[in-house]
Amino acid sequence: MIEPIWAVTGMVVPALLAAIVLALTIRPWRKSCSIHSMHLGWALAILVGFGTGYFVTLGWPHAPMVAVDYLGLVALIAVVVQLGVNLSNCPSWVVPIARSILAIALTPLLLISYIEHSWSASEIVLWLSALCLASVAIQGLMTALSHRAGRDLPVVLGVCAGAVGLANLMSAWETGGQLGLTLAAAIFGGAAIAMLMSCKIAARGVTIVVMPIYLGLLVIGHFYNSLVGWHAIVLAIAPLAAWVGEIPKLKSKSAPWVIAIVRLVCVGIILLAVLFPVVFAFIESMSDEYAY
Amino acid sequence: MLTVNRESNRGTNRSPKGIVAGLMFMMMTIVSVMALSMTTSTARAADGESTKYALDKAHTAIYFKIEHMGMSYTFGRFNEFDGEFTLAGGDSQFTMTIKAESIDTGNAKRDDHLRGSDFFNVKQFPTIEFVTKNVVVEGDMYHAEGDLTLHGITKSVTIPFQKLADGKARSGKKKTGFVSEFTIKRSDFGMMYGQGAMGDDVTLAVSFEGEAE
Repeated sequence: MIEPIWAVTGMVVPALLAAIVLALTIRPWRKSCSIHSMHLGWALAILVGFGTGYFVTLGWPHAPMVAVDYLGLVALIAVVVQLGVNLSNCPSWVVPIARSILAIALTPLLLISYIEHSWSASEIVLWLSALCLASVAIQGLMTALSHRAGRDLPVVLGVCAGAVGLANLMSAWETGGQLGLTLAAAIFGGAAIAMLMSCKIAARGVTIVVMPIYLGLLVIGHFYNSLVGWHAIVLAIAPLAAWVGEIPKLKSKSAPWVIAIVRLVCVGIILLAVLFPVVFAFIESMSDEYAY
Repeated sequence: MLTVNRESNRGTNRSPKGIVAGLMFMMMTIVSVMALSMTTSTARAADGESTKYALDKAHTAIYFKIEHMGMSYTFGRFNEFDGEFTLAGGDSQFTMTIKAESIDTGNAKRDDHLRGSDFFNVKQFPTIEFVTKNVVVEGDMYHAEGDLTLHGITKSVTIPFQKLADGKARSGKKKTGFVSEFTIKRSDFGMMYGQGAMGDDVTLAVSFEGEAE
């Protein structure tokens, strides 16, 4: 159950903190902006915003024991990777390698304790190969999109994260629901600042920290909780629908706000395809009168 | 050589009083040895009377209750479990394994939630286990100190088992039964979700029978 006090501390506060951190880092009132500061800004904004919501929901961090602890660790590693490659003068080829390693490591890290009890050796190889490939592909495509898309991409990601939160919440994993909503709040907080920017690189860096958390919530939601398999798959690929805005004819002939609406509508339709049955099933089960 | 000679001299020169006293001493020694021997064998029998019982699942129940918003208690039970116990005085042992997925509170939606990451996390921690380390017997009470592993965390707890009665199964094998009620804190086992709305104390009521193997 989402308590009003949690709605403030787990959503409003993370959104405000993410907005403040991003504003202080990129200073949107300046006319110039750099890719370097965008990467830094998004990494710190999501770290502070999502970190606050994570702390409010789960308490002080401790040595990882359950999958959701590893999710916190994944988020931290993603921030460190993003900060590390931006703050150091490392060669350009290090950046994609570091991100790929993180994308590959994501699912084995989250499923480490699931594997032990649930899969045979062949299933481990098959499942982990498929999940690692999907993770690398989705994160790679979203990072590529962040290099091309404008200020609307963070909004699209925020909507997707909110949908993942609702799907988990209504699939009997309330902590996962709260973490999805807190991630959405942090992204929206940052997106509000990105909207004030005049340059077109406002989405650079947003996916690198957001996507591992986003996919991680789906992996835990399905494998450890009751999120239906095809719902998890559709939610995982839903952000890719934002590529529709990159269709050459649409991009060259349409105003940015038109492209943003097209992206939101396409992603929204896919998200609704999952949310509709999830919400319907949830309302139907309300007859059980269960609260906790 | 000198010693032998002295003894032989004593034997030959013994008075009737001395013979009587010697006989009495011998008899007392024999009686004492016999008594000691009997005591020891009785003690050995008691110590050695070790009977191993397999859990009779048809006559075993594991229930729990937890406070809900300070207004009432929600009751639940575990439907799948296994175990055995050995009764041997202070060397008794109780072992029980519960399948966490079998939790049943009479509400399917709540049970799904309880099986998930917010509570039991059954995919990661499929079993709840209790294994004794030490048992103190006081009459019918067996105070079993042991390791309870729940939600991946192992804590030392003492569970008081009260032996109700012995009996015989239809097969003719010896049977016995216990009941127990004890309370644990779910926060001790890392189950922090919903603190406040739900109580931290979980009271377990266990009743089981075992059939001698």
